Amino acid sequence: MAADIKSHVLRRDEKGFAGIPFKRLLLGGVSGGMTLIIARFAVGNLAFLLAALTCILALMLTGSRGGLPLWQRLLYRLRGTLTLAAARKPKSLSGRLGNTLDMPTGLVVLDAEAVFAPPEGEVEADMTEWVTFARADEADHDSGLVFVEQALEGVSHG
Amino acid sequence: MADKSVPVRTFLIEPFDIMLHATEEGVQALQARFATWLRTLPGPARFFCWQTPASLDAKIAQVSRAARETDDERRAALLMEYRRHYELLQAEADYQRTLCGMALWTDETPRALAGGLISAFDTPVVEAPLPPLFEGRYELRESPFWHLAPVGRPGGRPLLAVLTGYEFLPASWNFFRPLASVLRLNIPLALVVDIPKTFERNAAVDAVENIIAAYQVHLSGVRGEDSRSVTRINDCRRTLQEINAGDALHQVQISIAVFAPDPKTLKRRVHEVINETRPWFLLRQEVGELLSRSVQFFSHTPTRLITIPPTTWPVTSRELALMLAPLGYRKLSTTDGVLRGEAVGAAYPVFHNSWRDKRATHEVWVGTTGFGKTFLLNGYLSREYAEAGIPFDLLEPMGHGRHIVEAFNLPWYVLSARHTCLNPQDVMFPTLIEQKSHTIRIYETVLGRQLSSGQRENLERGLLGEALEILYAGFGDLQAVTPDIAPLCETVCDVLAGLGDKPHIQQVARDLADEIAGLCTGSGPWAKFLNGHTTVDFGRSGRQQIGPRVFSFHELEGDPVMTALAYAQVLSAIRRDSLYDEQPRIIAVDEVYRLMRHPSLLDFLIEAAKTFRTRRKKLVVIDQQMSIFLDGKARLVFENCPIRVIFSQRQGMNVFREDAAFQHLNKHHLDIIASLPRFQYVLDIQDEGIFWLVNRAPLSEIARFGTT
Ligand SMILES: Nc1ncnc2c1ncn2[C@@H]1O[C@H](COP(=O)(O)OP(=O)(O)O)[C@@H](O)[C@H]1O
Ligand SMILES: [Mg+2]
Repeated sequence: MAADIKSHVLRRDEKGFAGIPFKRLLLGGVSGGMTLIIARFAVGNLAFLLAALTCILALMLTGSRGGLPLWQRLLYRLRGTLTLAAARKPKSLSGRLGNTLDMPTGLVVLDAEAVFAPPEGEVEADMTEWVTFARADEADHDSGLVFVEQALEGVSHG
Repeated sequence: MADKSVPVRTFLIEPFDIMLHATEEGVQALQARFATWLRTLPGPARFFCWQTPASLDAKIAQVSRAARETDDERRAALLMEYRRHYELLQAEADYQRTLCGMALWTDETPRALAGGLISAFDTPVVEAPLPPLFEGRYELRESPFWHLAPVGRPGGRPLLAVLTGYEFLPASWNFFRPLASVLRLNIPLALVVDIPKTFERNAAVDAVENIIAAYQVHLSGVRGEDSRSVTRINDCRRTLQEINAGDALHQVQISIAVFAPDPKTLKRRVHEVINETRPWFLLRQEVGELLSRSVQFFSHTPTRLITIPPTTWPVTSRELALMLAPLGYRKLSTTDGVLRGEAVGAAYPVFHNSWRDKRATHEVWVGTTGFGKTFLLNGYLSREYAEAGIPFDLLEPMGHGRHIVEAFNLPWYVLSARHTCLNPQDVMFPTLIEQKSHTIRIYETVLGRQLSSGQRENLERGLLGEALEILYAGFGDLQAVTPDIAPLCETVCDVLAGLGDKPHIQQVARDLADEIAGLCTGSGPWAKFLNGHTTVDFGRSGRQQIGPRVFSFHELEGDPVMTALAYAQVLSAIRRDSLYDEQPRIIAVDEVYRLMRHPSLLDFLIEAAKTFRTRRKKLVVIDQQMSIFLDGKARLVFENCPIRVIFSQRQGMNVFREDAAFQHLNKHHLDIIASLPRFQYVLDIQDEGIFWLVNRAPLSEIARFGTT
């Protein structure tokens, strides 16, 4: 009467170190290295600290929050904020930015009549599902007219 | 994934009561049935469950209105008592209403799909549009946290947040946890199990085998233990086993929309839901753009058009079956009609209106003595009378009709062996043929044999009929024969004794006249009871409406023939009267076997049941054993009763197991019926559902009827 839900059987666990997949570690390392190279010119040895911070930041942003990488979630949140601004305060800075970036302002207000409209139009009446009665009392003895899929065999077409 | 051309079909599914399956095998069977249906899913599918706050307000208002409008003081008083009962129920519970639905993307005809759903879920299913998640326009709000709020006047419209499931944890699911416990939080919410894809069998096997192979390569390269990978391989192997056993592999994702009147409550509820499900699956609260998009999961928008990064999880059919658990949580449904009891376990009141149709719907009630049939009947009759103004006739052999007589100050007809006379020649039918055969039925019962199926018997029937015809003919119009002038039994015997044109026929006539006279006239055992003008006034006496009446037969000194005749004559008077109009009325016959065991009177009951049905009169027949309603001709009565109230059936369970009429009951229904404690019963309404109820009676009813 029960079932034990299994792990994701269509996805491999990624190999990694200390619970962090190698891909993310690599990205963290690379971004840290890049920061070091560039920042070295500007801030000298402080660049080591910056590089370490960048590395940690990259690891965090690629970490999963609610099944999505954090950066993606933040991006959706930001898009939400810009969309709201574009729809509500189009003159403001963020509003103008939102408009320039073509935010989906149609998502700000949801109309139940549109979102939950019954699936009509797609549904064609299938006449073979209906029985047609000329008089109400025919329904009592099931003698109505029925649409059939194909011409009945043995019926002359002349 | 759904092709553009594949239409979506949406269905509403009536939730049933998991308590009717609540044994180990019961839920197992349920899971197996759901899984079997899921295995053959023809395309994408989406399961919905909406839970909205419900209350008895409408019922309370209706009862109060009826109390104000009636000019019958007793009815008003009773209505106020019922009102208090409903208020009490309302105060101690937080009612929710649930509704379930399914969207299927497929080319199959809706009728075939609905048929499949009905047999898989064993509950009514109709093709219908899905209800919207919210009404009117809603807007995205960022503070104090991301949520959706109604635009313009809220008008009672709540705020809402959407949670999306993104990870399933290795935990055991069943029909009670985790989804049912989410519903039991009693928070208004909507839950969706989206099934965007069901893998084709070989594709599923290949995909899972690839994963196994990859882990194996990995394991061969590591030294020491990697228990994680070993677990993964085991999970994959189990999945393959289940697929080989017939399951399909599905992609699923759960979404939950939570409602609340204000942001603070919304936040609290969101956390309650997230915490409740945390051991089984993780939910994220959607923010920003994703929140607006995720609302579409609660519509019939195909998954591929809902542009949200997919966080689906692969599960097998037997696992997915448990995600349909909300189907088993029937909650407060309609408040239309009268209270029929309270659901055992779930503790919500069940109302039913059997007068919606033009035709009345007869009921058969069975159960071991002492388990509460009569008490429930009294309550039912008073609820229908007080709340819907529907009058009743109660026929009972024990004398406890007194309670309901006192409750409503009703006329009480007590038929007594010493003082009552019921003339078999009273005119109860409009035509001579019907009237003759009715009177003959009474004589057959007295004689203890039927006047048919033999040459002599047929002759006797003919002669007796001739005698009656001669007597009635003397009045010209049959309807002019009022009880005070109807021919008496002795006259019938006199006329009968003189019939026949040949000697041997004359002999038969004389013998029959002697036989009847010996029983019904002079010092015969039933002379006092039958040979005289009827002493009970069954007439309308010019009234438009006849109020409730109670007929008690406890003073017939336990004489089975007298009791049976009393039942028959009272019922035929009620039947005659019922032809007069189409006003709803209930005719309740307690201990009906006392009538039915006489073959001639059974014929009468069968005919009366049909007549009542066409005149919107509800017949309620009550006795101990279901088997008496299934034997031979009695079945015709049973088949006219789409509503069944079944109390404990410890003896006589076999008919429920064997008879085709109960094929819709599964083993667990039967176990429940076999072990029903006192005051509990199964209410089985054809084509509407099966309910396991307890008569938690209003205090007022216990006070009035507590000593039956
Ligand atoms: N729901 C109930 N609550 C309290 N007492 C009840 C209830 N139902 C029945 N009783 C009591 O149980 C006894 C037997 O009930 P009764 O209705 O006469 O059983 P039956 O008609 O099935 O033989 C009665 O004394 C009645 O008052
Ligand atoms: Mg009883």
